[in-house]
Amino acid sequence: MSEERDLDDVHHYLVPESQVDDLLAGREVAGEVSEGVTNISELFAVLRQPPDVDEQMSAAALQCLVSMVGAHPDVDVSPRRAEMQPRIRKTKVTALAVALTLCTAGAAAAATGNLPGPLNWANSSGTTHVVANAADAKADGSPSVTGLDNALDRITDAKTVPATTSRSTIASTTNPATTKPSATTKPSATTEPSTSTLASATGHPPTTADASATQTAQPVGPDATGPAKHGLCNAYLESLAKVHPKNPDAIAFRNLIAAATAAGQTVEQFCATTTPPTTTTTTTLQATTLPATSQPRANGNGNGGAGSGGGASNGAHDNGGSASATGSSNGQGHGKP
Amino acid sequence: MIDGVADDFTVILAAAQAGDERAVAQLFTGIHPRLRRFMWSAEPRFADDLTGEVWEAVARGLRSFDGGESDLRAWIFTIARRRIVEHRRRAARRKTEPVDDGFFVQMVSNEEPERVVVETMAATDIVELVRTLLSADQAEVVLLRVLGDLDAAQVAAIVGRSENWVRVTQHRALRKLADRVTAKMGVTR
Repeated sequence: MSEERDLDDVHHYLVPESQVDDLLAGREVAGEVSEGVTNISELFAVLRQPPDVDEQMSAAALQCLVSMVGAHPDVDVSPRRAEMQPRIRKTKVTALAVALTLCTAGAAAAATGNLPGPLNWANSSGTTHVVANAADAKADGSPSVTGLDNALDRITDAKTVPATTSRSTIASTTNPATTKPSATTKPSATTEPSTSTLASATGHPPTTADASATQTAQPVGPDATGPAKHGLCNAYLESLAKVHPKNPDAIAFRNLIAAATAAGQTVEQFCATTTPPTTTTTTTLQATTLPATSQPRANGNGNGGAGSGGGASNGAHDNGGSASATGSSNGQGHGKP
Repeated sequence: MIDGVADDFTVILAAAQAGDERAVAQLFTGIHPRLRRFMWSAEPRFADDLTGEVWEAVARGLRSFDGGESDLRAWIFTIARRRIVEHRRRAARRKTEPVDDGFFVQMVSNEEPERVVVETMAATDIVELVRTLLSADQAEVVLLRVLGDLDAAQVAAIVGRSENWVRVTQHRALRKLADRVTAKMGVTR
């Protein structure tokens, strides 16, 4: 509306369309130039004049801008990546919190004596490990990304350790003090405890159950291929015979079924070859599960840990005695069920 | 070509993006006076503050800028216009607005802007004349074209209108200026 009035008002000094761009661009206006165009051209020339002293950018301001240009490296962060950063960080923090909770809960259980020896060691070590990193993260008053990431990486590493690798391999590099065998065994003074011997010195063979139990605190059940096989078979077959069988999804039965499947047999066939465990049998089995690098112990004399491995029927373990199976005949087992 | 900006714009831009002080100075100081005049035309009392905000934004984003000299000016004046819009939105939310003494002195002045132009012919006076005689849209278009050395298409992109709208607006603005200024200058000469 107002512009329509403008058009009505302005009619004395018309500016040809062909000259508008020249005027606005500061070029010399071609063709016949009216007085109005000349006046506007003069005005715009003034607008384009070099700056006065007070209009110039100060040296301090320029220096500041130069520093700002250099202070903002061109980091190529895609919008999606930038959007995901808080989520990733939140996930990491959550994972750390879960890990702390699990480890703390395990340590509490161990403190009350509810966990067997090897699991006790692993959780207490893990708790110390993670808490130490958490403390590092808070040392400067703000979460340390490096400390947090390192802690998370170590947790991830622990979870990805192959089941056939003894947990003590990690322990020997992170917390040697905790790898000291408990009172259940007494390694010989002449024996140099290697990584694998540390594993055996804990009074527990480096089995799958051991490794996974120390890492995730998940129930692993007894080893169906080990000394627990007889008891598991009995329980399973007894359960099948009952009208209301036990839970076939129980971890112990799943281990048994898995072991039978791995052997290419049915559970019945797998259990048909089992024999009741004896001390001799147990020792033999222990010897076969030990790594080949185990050092012989001349005078193995240990007391088997109670219920190591979590099996119902593997309470009579004596690793001092079992170690002697490979290098000594003087080992004496005194298993305590 | 804006004062102080050499022909080899690409080389200067690359050096400025690498943090070279002389290159940054050559880029910024050439545009700064015109940018400040443009900001002054829109918000006289906050021109310096807003200009500083614009340069800060430019400095932060200079490394990621890619384009020619005209593109750089268009980019800078786009930032400038957005800062003005943001400033006005903030001001609209405030119920009271502090003003300095110069504002009231300016209000009671009986001098006609055209007369001031003829006598002093300072750039800021021309800006004042333009913003007084023209509507806000017209003044913005004319000043973007003159101070920013931008073409109609670039101005259209900045103000969010069509190029045709810009051409119509600038034509009306020039005719209005020619009429008013010529009439006054004829009287005073």
